[in-house]
Amino acid sequence: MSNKVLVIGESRDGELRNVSFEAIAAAKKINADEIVGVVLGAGDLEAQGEEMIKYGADRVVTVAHDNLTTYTSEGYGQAALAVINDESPDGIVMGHTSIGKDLTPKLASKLGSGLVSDVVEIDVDDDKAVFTRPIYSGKAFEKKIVTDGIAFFTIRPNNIAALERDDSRSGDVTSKEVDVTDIRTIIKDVVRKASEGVDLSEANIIVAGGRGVKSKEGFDSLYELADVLGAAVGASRGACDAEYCDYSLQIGQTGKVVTPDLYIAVGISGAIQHLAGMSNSKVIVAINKDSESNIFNVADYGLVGDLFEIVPMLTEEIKRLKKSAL
Amino acid sequence: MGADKAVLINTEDDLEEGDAFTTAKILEAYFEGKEADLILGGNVAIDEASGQVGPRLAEYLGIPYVTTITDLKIEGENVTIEKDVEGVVEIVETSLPLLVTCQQGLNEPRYPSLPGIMKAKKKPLEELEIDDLDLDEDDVAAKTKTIDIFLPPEKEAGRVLEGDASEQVQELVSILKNDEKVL
Ligand SMILES: Cc1cc2nc3c(=O)[nH]c(=O)nc-3n(C[C@H](O)[C@H](O)[C@H](O)COP(=O)(O)OP(=O)(O)OC[C@H]3O[C@@H](n4cnc5c(N)ncnc54)[C@H](O)[C@@H]3O)c2cc1C
Repeated sequence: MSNKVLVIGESRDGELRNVSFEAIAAAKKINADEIVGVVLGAGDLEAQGEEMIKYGADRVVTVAHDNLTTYTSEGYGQAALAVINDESPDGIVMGHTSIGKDLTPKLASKLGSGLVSDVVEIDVDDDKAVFTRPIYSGKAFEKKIVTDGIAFFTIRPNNIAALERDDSRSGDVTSKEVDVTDIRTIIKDVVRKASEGVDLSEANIIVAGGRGVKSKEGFDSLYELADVLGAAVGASRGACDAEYCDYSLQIGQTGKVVTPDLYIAVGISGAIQHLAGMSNSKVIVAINKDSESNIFNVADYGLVGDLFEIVPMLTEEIKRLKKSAL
Repeated sequence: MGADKAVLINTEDDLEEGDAFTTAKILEAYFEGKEADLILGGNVAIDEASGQVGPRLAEYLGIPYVTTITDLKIEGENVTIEKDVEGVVEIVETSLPLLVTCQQGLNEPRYPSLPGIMKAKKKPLEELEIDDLDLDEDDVAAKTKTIDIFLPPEKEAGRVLEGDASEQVQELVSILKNDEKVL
């Protein structure tokens, strides 16, 4: 039985996001024998198509149109559906990102298919893809299958490793014309709020601050630490509510869900709503002056003490380490 | 909290298992012919956390949708929205009818006031079952199935590092580099 799986790529500033490569690896995991990458956007998309092939796609279909310059569910929906109708895939994978969350339920409805969102692990049992996903804010997990429709799922970034990039791979990148029309939602403006730098949801290391950081200025020392680590800065809602930082940094139930290799929680008490966004991080370090704080129950390593003393020390120590490694 | 009317669509007796498709289909049947100008929904449920119902419902009703909104202004038919997109705020212009899903920050919910609670007792609460919506089980049968639910393996108790701040920091860096290999 052939098993053709479409991977809908997602780019930012003209480059594919890492989660798109992870999605290719996910397609492999459900035993795809043909992986077709899909790149939607405006202008020349050839290079992005080639990139998907290097990461394991067999061929790529691109759809370029001025109405696809910024994402809208209607524009991307029309373009993606046109490709899906051409290809009649047995499965579709996309990242569980802002765009993936917005677009895939629409496509699944159009296709009359089930959809499993936010998958962190994939098995195949008797030719059937079995998807593991967190429920109850990460306190439990469920295994799900699609019973009606195709194997349609989105993957949580940073959980399924991308395949090694292989420069020797080649495949066709073809472009498809789609008349993308009749868009009722128009993006008038895009305001960047988070400081430039490492993308939270895909960061390997996150330094997150809470109300214990006490001020906007207090966050400066977190940025310095993040800088030497090549990390992104995140925050608890406590810190966002107190206006030490922007809400776009919030991690947790109502913020972002992250799974970095290393999560450093600074002055965060570890409320259940915060844990919902980070408890699956691979290594968790907590810095808190209260040894009874709940964050120590999820932390792999705890430092009990004053963050204003510890964080600058940690920054210096890592600087020293990076220097000696040169 | 301010609603003039509430409707409970009770599926307890009819459905054993449902998914986002089931919920969206039932809501579609309810909204059919109602010509709602604006449908507001949550962006994601705390339990299942799929975030599919809003977009699916809009799709079935054939109206546009905008998810994870943090601001909403309506002037006549014209709607201006701020949408939260991973650290970026998009200003979206669209028109009614429309479905939106709400993200934290959109509004502060008011607390129910005592007079409000008294008044609520007189407001109509309609109760429906899927029969009343001309649906039967097959129309809304789930398209996914949960085959297992389990708890994550208990995390080993973490280690609290000993010593003064500088000793703790040195030990941490050494662990992160040599044992965990994350630096
Ligand atoms: C529906 C709902 C959704 C929510 N969603 C989220 C969410 O998405 N994300 C989220 O984070 N929260 C969320 N919350 C809020 C959550 O319940 C907590 O209120 C919040 O996480 C607390 O933030 P905090 O840990 O920074 O603050 P606090 O609980 O005040 O903790 C501050 C910590 O800093 C420590 N500290 C203070 N000074 C120092 C110092 N000098 N050195 C070292 N440590 C110090 C203290 O010991 C304390 O542990 C939500 C709540 C609700 C009701």
